[in-house]
Amino acid sequence: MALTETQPEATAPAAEVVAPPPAVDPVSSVLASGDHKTVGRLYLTFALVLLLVATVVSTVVGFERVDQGGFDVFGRDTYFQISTLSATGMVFMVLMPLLIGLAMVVVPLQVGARSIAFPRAASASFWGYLVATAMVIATYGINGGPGGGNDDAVDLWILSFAFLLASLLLGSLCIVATVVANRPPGMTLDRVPLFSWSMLVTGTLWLLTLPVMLAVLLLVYIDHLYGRTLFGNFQIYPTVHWLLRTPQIYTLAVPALGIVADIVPVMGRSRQRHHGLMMGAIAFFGLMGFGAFMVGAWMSAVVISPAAASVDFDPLYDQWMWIGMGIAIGLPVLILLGGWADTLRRGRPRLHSSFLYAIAGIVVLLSAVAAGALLVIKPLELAGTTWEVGQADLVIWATVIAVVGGLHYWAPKLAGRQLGDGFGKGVLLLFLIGTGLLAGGNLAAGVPGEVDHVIVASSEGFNGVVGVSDTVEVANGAAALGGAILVLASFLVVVNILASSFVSLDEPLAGDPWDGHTLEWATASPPAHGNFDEVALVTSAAPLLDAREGDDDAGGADAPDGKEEG
Amino acid sequence: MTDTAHVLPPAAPPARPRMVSIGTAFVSIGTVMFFAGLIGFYLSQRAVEQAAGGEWLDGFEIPLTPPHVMMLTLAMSLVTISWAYYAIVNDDRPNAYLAMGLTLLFGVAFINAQAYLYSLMGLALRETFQAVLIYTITGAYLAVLGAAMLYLAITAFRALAGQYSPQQHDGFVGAVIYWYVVVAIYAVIWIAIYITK
Repeated sequence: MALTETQPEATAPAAEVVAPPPAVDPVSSVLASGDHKTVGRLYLTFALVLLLVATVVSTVVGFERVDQGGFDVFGRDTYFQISTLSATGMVFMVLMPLLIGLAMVVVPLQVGARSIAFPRAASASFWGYLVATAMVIATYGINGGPGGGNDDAVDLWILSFAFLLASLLLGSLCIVATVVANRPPGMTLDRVPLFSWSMLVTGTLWLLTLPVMLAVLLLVYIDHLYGRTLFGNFQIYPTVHWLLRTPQIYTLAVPALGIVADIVPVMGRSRQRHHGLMMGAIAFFGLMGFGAFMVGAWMSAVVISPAAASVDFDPLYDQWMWIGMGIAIGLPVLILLGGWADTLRRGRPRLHSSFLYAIAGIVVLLSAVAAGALLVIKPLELAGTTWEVGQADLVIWATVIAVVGGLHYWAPKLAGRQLGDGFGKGVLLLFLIGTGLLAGGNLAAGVPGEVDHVIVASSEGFNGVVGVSDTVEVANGAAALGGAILVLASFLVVVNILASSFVSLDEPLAGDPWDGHTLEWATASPPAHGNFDEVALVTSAAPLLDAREGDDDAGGADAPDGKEEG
Repeated sequence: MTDTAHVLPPAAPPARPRMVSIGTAFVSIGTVMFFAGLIGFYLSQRAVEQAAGGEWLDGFEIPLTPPHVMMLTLAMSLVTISWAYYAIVNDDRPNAYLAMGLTLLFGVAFINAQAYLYSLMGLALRETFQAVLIYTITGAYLAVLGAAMLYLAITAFRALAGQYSPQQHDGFVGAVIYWYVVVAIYAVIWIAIYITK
């Protein structure tokens, strides 16, 4: 039982821990591994494959939306189903697994742990994710999913989706427990690296919000299976939809902030001052993304509204928390931007691809926050339109861009390789163009009031996208083109990873190719079994930078730069 | 390992972290939010129905005696699980075994009482959404209580095998935390569904 297993670093002397494991065949060593690096790599591999699939599906949906009459791949009923697969798949089959996979590899290294907490649970979480994803996709193949025509397949979709959420929750639980319980001596919580901190915030938020979704799914399942008093096939999707919209969608971007916060000081070659303030800003951003309070309003507005003939958005968009959080979330982003600007001002930035991805990711996220602030201003009447879709696109692709930056930055730890730098910069350009067109198109279509068809369909049934103005059609076309460019960019990320894995190295990559600040750079690339030879004594938030500067005491030459800042 | 691995001073081996109890605490947070979602939806639906002048439990009765007995049963289980905890801390193993056994027995008694209550209610699942909500909440609670009993049973068997000591009883603490949380959740269900109706 994983929950009660013995923590390896606690009971075994250091010399035993670093002894090489007994030889096993390569397939078993991957498939049966509880090693956090192996499990994390598996997560990343399948999430990247599904990123390609999800972007292709959403692009086809986008093109169909431009001209429903002339380009009809799915048919009206299927269009609704595929739209829901596209939206949920991008978040729960791609983005969350990408974040969890990256964190599973990096977080234990950053906090100086020899293993992740509950390694067998981490492994079970990956296999659960894989099986659940296959089941969710399969249910669409047999006319299931929200709005499906096969009731049994719809029921199976509900169960599969709940299984998927539970698996992802289990993975995030392992990461959160690692940050809380597996830190080395001296690494107090205020010295935790910012990516690990962001994962602690994110994991806690997911544990606070996704169980609410599980509860709703259970209720929907029981009702759909037995009573059918509340939820018809079309009314299921709104119960999920709050996860994909403001404010809950912001929980996905919290790790993006952590990734940027770790890359900027290292690539900027400067110490990050005000570490505590940066931690506070990340936590505040996460708090403003707590969206579980929206579930009741979504269900009231769309599922059981007394005005059943049309969607009644008033209970949804009149909530002061929704409005306040949509505006307040800009504050922590500005604080973080100030912190990074200060760091770069004092440093000599390297224009490495990871750094450029980090900057690009935060710029796109800032756009998302600005779009979100406009969204909640009621007189603008943007809520319920495709403006919401565009705003969510910005959050999602800001996070994807930051994650790809993280892959460039931590590639030595992930695979003992470096990704192609120049190639990566070219791909970043595609990401920015694609995101701009996709999100910009959806935002622009929302201004004249094009409704979010998927949600309206939940109440009224889907009647196709017809009768839109030329302006909206052009905007929809731009969004579809942006989606196609993002397919290409995602494909090229995979190409870059594959190409780098075939490059032969004359000698092993250095453990710390970037002059890193945090503990993951204090071990080999890739790390050996057990991660570290010995447990380090940590005395600041940037222990390796301290060690390089020969500044074991607080009174070194750079002390004003804040060894103990924050 | 690279050179940088040796520039940091080594630390003494860390004390055994409270991994299991910390993990259980996070699982408990998730469990609480799960029931917060269910009960919140139940209460909001009831408020809507009553605001419209309707009768919430129209046409059927929920007898109050069994829910009271169930609450009392779980309240007594709090005493026995605390007894088990202090017995472990004081290395009084016979008392620990007895208290853990009694706690599990209270759990079984609760399940039995819930089954009896279902038979008294005679509520058809397919007829009203009140029935869907009540069966979903109470059924999910039975599942969670079962998980808590399984967790406690595993720690009980581990204790019987000689594990846990006054100094090291992290796994058992996890089971105790989860039991407390599960009982607290029932207190909310008891008030929300049975007392305030």
